[in-house]
Parts: sequence; structure tokens; C-alpha cells
Amino acid sequence: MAVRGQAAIVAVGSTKQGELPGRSADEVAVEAISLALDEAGLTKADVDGLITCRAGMGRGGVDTGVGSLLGINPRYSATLDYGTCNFSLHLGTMAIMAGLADVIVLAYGATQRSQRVNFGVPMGVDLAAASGYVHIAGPAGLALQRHKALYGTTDEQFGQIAVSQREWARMNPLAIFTKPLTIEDYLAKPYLVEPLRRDDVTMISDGGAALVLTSAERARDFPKAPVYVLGIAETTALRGDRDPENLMRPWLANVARDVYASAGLRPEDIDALYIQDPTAVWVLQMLEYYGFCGLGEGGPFLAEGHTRPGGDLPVNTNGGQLSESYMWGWLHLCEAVRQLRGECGPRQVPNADVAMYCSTMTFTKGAASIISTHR
Amino acid sequence: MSYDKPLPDVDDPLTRPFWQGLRERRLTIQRCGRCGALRWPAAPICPECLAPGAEWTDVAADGELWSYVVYRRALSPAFADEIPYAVGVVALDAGPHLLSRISGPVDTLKVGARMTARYEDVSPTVTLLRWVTESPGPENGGGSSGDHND
Ligand SMILES: [Zn+2]
Repeated sequence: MAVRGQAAIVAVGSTKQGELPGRSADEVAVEAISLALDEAGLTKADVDGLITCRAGMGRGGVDTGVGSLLGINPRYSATLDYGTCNFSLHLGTMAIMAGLADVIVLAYGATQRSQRVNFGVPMGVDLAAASGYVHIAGPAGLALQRHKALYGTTDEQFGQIAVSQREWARMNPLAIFTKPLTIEDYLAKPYLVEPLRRDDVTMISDGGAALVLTSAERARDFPKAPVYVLGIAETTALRGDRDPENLMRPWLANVARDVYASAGLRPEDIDALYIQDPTAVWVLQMLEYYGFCGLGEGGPFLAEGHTRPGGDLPVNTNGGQLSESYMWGWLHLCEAVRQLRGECGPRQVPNADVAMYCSTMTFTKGAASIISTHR
Repeated sequence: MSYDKPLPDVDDPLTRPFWQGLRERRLTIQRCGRCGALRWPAAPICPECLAPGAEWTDVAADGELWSYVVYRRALSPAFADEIPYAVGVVALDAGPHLLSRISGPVDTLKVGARMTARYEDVSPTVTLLRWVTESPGPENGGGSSGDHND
């Protein structure tokens, strides 16, 4: 059975972002679920599916913990060990199509900022760790340096990602970073891990997000316009660094091919694009692999301003993880839903009909979804 | 002063021959006894043909700089005193890509440069591999045959 139009997002919820001291990740996840249920006009008794996501660095987010706090015995529940919400949306869509559940809540909560989780600590000491190779900025910087060498990408071109997302964030009340950032400001800042600057790397923040997913048949009964899942695709690169070019993530091209085929759409059909961005390098790579420009042409494409407010390919209109909040991609999907419903005020993309959300789990998995208010 | 940064467990049975090799100024990595595939990082079975175990073989510690980064800010307190330092991936002539610290100036590095290994004894039991830019041969004025001056 084709995925197109079988399931729909009927509500989203997002908590305050930033610092939420003294609260657990599960508690924040339940708050987000409450917000989403309120928007859907549902009570928790209506929920018969729960898909949670492990909080960063393994602190909470397991379905048994979140479900216990939420006080429900749904027919179906599961935990995904990896974030971005795309994988959760896909599992939920499959569960609905298989008849395992009808009203599924997808949820994520994190309090890693308040808990001072240190992302600079290596898991085990191998030659890389003994060399001081720490933090996501390491591998992301390697990929960007390679891109610069192969294609001549410049700092000024690449910096447009952070600048463009800040422009969007300034119109988003939920965003944490809203100070103006021009390309001159960007270029004047020092490198963090060269060739990356601080503005190219996600912050660490607390917050929660949740979505309610249901079958297309039931989706018409909710207060807000349903946002249908038109296509989904995933791939893995579980061989990891055994494939020498893995940092460039060439396998993203397979997710692109499959998600367009699943929805029966093409890049030209996408009105608003969401790219999960632990670093800006992910945006550069995915603009290319998802066919918005040719391989290696991301730099000039960005410099032309397509992704900025007023551009013809709005990207990360929430500000993304670089400026809005680090919610492991979850807020990207919430924003896409709100844009498609036309709720985004000054940052609303005119006539947004189809949105695509592309994400990855570091260097080992990729996922994409195409969604629309039209089946 | 003793070396106080993160150190590997050189007695881990899986990787002991590698660390022993560095101690002896050799780069040694696993090779599958059945299909011959070179294996990096080390693993208990061959991910290509699933044969258990491995042989160890010395490979030339030379290759091309595939990419590099320069840590300009201390993201790990353990390495704060070494800022700025570079880490690079070298595509070994033998095939696998091997990431390690680059010693020497960080501002003249270039993707595609020829690199070779140096070995640094950092503790009584641990030797680490450091990449350095291959010094140009004195007889040809500093470069490969493809070099030009314009
Ligand atoms: Zn083999």
C-alpha cells in the first residue's frame, strides 16, 4: 500500500525553549504532549499509540518512563534511540497503516542544557579521541574543508546559512538567538573548529516537542487542517567510516530519490524546506543531494539568497537549530506543520502547500518526509 | 610533567597489535585471512566476508591529506594547552582512511598534500601516530613533477 495520504499530523505542541532547570526530560516531554493534545481537542484517554525518543546522551525519553508519567496504557508504544522526529513520523505512519494504533503521539523532551551535558567528552579513547578529535564540529568541519577543496566553496557563501536562518529566527517568538547577524558579522568572528565558526554549530538547549498523528479517515475530525504525509524515505550508512567517503554522506542521494518517488513529487514542488542542522554543513550537503542545486554548487546557490526570507526556497523558517533551539530536529517538523496551516505571522511563506523535512542521524542514517495540507 | 590527556587502552586484545606497532614505529592494521580486505577500524570479524579473526599487516604510513580541521577553541579541557591544533584524515596509499593529530604548523595545510607518519611516545606504554607534511625532496627543488611556479 502506498504511503501517500494514509496518515496526517493533526496537532503539534512545543514548550518554552532554552533553560528549564530542575525538570526531567520526561516531564518536559509530557508537557509537550499536553500542549499537542489540547490543540487536537483530545484527552490522553484518546491516545492509543506513543512513540518517544531517547533524550540526548541517554537521559530519559524511554516509552516506559514517559508513558508511566503520562499515565496511559496505549495499544502500541515504542522508543527510538535517535532523534530528528523524521524517524518517529515514519514509524508512526507504519503503525497506523498496519492498524496497530489510530491516534499516536510522537514526543521528545530534553534538559541537556540545565544538566550541563558535555558534548566534548569522547565515548571511548581510540586514536581519534587521543588526538583531540571531539565534538560534532570535528567531523562536520572535515566535511566542509573537503567541500571547499573540491568545489571552491567560500566562507562567505557558506556563512549565508547561519545568516539566513538568523533572519528567519528574528521573526519567530520561540527562537533563542535573535540578535541580528550579517555576513560581515559572521566573517568577523573567529573560528571555533576551522573552517566552522560558533554560528555554524547548534547550541545546547532544553525543551520539548510533540505531534499527534492519526489516520486520514479520522484526520478530518480535528480543529486544525490536517497535514498529510505524502511521502517518506530512509536509508542507512551503518558501515560508517568503513566507507572512506562517508563524511560527505553520498548516500543522501538515495533518500532524495526515494522520498520524491514515494510522494510522486520533484524538488520544484517543495514550497518550504526543512533541514535538520546540528551544524550548517548538513544544510549545505542536503541542498545538493536533495536536488535544489547540483553537487558542489551549494556555495553559489546560497550566495544567491534562495533560502532567505523572500527567497524562492525558504529553508528552516524557524531559524533551525542554529538560531531557534536544539530540539534534535523536532521543531523543524512542528514549524513545517504550522507553515502549511498558514499560522506563522511575519515569517509565513506565502501559499505554502508542500513542505519537505530532511534529517540525518549523524553519519549513519538519513530520513526525509514530504507533507502537505492536500492529500 | 607526565602526559595527562585521554589515553587508549593499549592492552585491549582487539587493538593491541596496532598500539604495539606504533611503539615499534610501524603502522599495522588488520587484513582478512580469507578475502584479503584491509580493515580499519579494527573489528573481531571481517565486515566484508564475515570471516572471524584477522591477520595483521604492516602498511606504508604515507598518503594524501583527505581533509583536516583546526581546533581554535578548547572544546575538550584536556587539550586546551595545545590550541590551536590540527586533526586530519589521511587517505593511506594502501586504501583505508586514518584520522589522527597533525603535528607542525596549522596554517599551511592543504587538502591533497602528501603526508607521512611520525611516532610520539607520550607515556611509558603508549605511542601515538602524528601526521606531518612530507618534506619536499631536496634534489628536485621541492615538489612533484606536476609542480610549477606561477
Ligand atoms: Zn574477509
